[in-house]
Amino acid sequence: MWGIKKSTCSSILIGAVLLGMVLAACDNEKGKTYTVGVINVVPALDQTLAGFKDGMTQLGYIEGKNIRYVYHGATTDMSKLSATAQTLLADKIDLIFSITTPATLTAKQATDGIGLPVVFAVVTDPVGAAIVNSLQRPGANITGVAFGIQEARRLEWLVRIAPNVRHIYVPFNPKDKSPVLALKMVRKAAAKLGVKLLTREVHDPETLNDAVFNIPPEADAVFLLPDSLMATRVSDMVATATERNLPTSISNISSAKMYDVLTAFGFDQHLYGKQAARLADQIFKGTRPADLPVEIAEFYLAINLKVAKAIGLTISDEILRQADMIVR
Amino acid sequence: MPHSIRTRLTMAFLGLAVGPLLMVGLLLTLKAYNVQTQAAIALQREMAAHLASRVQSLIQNLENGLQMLIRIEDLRKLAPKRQQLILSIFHSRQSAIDDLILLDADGRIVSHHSRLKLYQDTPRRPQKKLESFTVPMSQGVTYFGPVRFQALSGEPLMIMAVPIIALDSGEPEGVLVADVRLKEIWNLVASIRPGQKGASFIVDAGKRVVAHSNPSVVLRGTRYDPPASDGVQMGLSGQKSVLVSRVISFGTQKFYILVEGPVSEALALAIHTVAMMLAIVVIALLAASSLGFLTVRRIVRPIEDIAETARAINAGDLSCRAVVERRDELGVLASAFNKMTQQLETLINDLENQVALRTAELKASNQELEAFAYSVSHDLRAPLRHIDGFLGLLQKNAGTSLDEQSRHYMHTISEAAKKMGLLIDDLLSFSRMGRHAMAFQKVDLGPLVREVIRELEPDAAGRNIAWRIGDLPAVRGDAATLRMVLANLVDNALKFTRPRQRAQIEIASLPGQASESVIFVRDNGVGFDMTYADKLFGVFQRLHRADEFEGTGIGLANVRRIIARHGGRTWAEGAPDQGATFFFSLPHSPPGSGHGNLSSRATPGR
Repeated sequence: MWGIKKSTCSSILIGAVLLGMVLAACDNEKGKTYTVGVINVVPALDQTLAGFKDGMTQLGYIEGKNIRYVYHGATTDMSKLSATAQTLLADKIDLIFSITTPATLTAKQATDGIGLPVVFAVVTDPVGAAIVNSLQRPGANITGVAFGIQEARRLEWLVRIAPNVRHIYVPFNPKDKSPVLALKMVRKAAAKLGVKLLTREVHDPETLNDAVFNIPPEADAVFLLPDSLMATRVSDMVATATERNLPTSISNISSAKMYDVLTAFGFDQHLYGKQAARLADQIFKGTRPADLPVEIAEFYLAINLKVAKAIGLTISDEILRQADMIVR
Repeated sequence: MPHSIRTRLTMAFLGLAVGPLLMVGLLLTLKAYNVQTQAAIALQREMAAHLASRVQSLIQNLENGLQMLIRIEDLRKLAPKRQQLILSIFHSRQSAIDDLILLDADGRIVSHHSRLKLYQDTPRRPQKKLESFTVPMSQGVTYFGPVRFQALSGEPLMIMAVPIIALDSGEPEGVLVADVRLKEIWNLVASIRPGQKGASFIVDAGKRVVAHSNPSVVLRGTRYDPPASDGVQMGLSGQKSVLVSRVISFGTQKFYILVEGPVSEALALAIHTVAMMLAIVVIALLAASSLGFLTVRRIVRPIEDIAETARAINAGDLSCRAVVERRDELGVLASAFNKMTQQLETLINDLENQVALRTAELKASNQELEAFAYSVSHDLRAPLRHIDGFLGLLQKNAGTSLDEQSRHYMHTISEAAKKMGLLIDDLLSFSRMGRHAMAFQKVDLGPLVREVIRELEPDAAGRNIAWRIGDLPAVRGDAATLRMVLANLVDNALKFTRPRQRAQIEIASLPGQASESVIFVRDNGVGFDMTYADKLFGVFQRLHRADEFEGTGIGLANVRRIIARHGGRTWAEGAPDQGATFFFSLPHSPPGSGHGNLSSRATPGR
């Protein structure tokens, strides 16, 4: 009697398990809601986040449906960056999207040992800043999209647009690795192009103010490095320069329009963010950040004719024909 | 029970229910798999062809652009400044070109435009020996170089060198070299992918991936060996995939366009069919199990009841009956079985009653017979004493007055009376033997035999007798009656060897008896005819005349009775003048001794 009961019970049990497997196979994985924490130090770079969100939407991550962003605005006070990172970690996030080198270094420090993935954007030299081991093999929980390799060429474009420039004013924050690493490339280029760099270090609001409002008298152009501190005063810096009819250059083409910068050679914030979104998608699909090589952003040339006119600079058609974006 | 009807019926049910379903499912699955695979291959081949055409268009457009640049104005004849400007503008509009170099007829760099390098950093060395110069110059065709990867970014590059043909002579007079960024292809590749999880990618002749839906695959230097034929195989993703490939060439450079669709997605319908079949089989299995359980229970339970009843009857419980609750063949079988059991029970009860009755009758008859023998011997003794007494008085009073013949008659009467007295004594002792209370204990036969011989020694005085006493066992029995057995047999041996000059008497046991001891007494006496062997152990049976050998013929009857009460047997072997051997056996556990039961067997007798 027990024999048949046992075999029937076994059959029912096996059947139930198989049925469960079939149902499980039929029922595709339920959509998880991902939470992305964002760290940024420059409000003007919020467009990068917008590009990231657009990219994620195109990849199927709809905000409010299967993805949530935790972003309390740019942390302009560098001393509060760590606190921002800790706040994000407390929010049970799945990934950090960090914008700028200081923000990425903070994210790296905050996620050290917990393995939370980080995707960075607007980072000049991730290898030089010791964020990753190499571009092809990041090696840890961090990957992203870099730029900065175009900085030498940007200086050349400034010199070609304004051929009379000889002394170029370069204010920067020596504590921020991004401008320091970019400056190394720019210095070499300046030597080859026969121009002199007038560098000035900014450390605090006082020196920043001085750097913004007291451009050295011998300067005949302003070259803004990718510098989180300087980025907070681009508007004032450009206003001061324009007042003195000095050409200005920046590495972010969106700023050429936004802040009336004469020329920009570098990345487009929106496209930059979209490029980074693809990496986040790969991570959500299970690839380890260590196996996702750091990508390089695409570069574009922007020229603001309004500014050229304002400072009395004539730009040849030959140059304009090579620009990707002309602000009129 | 692995071979029980229940197990076999259950297996048969499951086999009948699930087997055909599995077969159909298997066939359907195979068919669905084949159809789906072919459909997926066809679809992916179209995709590969489409991607190949778009990649070829992109490269062709770039080549056309370079050709146009050469032709719009006669590039080689322009003033250097104008040359620079045109090349610079063209280069700035071509994001797919990293470096653009104009070489003269001697391979010297006339103009170099780089996307990221400073003009000062561009190379100046003549490129006369490079294939990118020699091939277009010597063959007048566009040269495509092998894929290279940028050290810093890991992005792939490919040299495209277009010859500048002089319009008048038709001879090459320079080369326009473009370092093409294959990254431009990435977007094309990303836009063509089968399903959600599929991917398309391009592998160069060196088996390195140069374009993939996921750029990271290219940047980390992934290698992949394209399969020889289209079909289901391990894909670049590491999953079993439907994979198709198509080869395209630029100059001598070969590229494999691959489209990979994971089996889980590409063959979703086939997998769904398998899942559905599995679900149906599971449901069928459950249904068959339940149905099988119920059916088997209805069929097997009555059979098991009958088997259980048969086991109980076999164990001795004749009152057990099978349950009859059905009207079908199994009900008939159970009824017939019960009827058979009832008849068997009645038969056995009748037999037992008859046996009990017979036993009681036999017991009563025996008791009556013994009482009769006892009373007869007692009652006969009184008149015999009268005869003997009055005969004595008669001899005393009239002895001298009687003549010789009358005295002879009186002597004969006296001898007959004495003999009758002996017969009555023997009958009485035989009768007592039946009622003697047996006291079973360990009896060592060796000493017992020697004691008996010693007691009989007076009878053997003056005779030449060779005694041979072998090994005799210790047995369980009644010492007093066993002593009588031995005394009787040894006395007989002495008696029947009397005519022999040298008598030989052997008392020993047969070796190797498992459950009993067999003792024999052998002599070389007058022996007997085996024809009368069965009479030997009868009461008052004699084979010799009384004047030859004295005795009443009660001794061996007593021997048989005593041995029978020990549960043993008695028999004899012999031949006239050849001597005789008398055997008796004693079981190791005699009946009533508290050492088990041993039924006596038929015994041969003298």
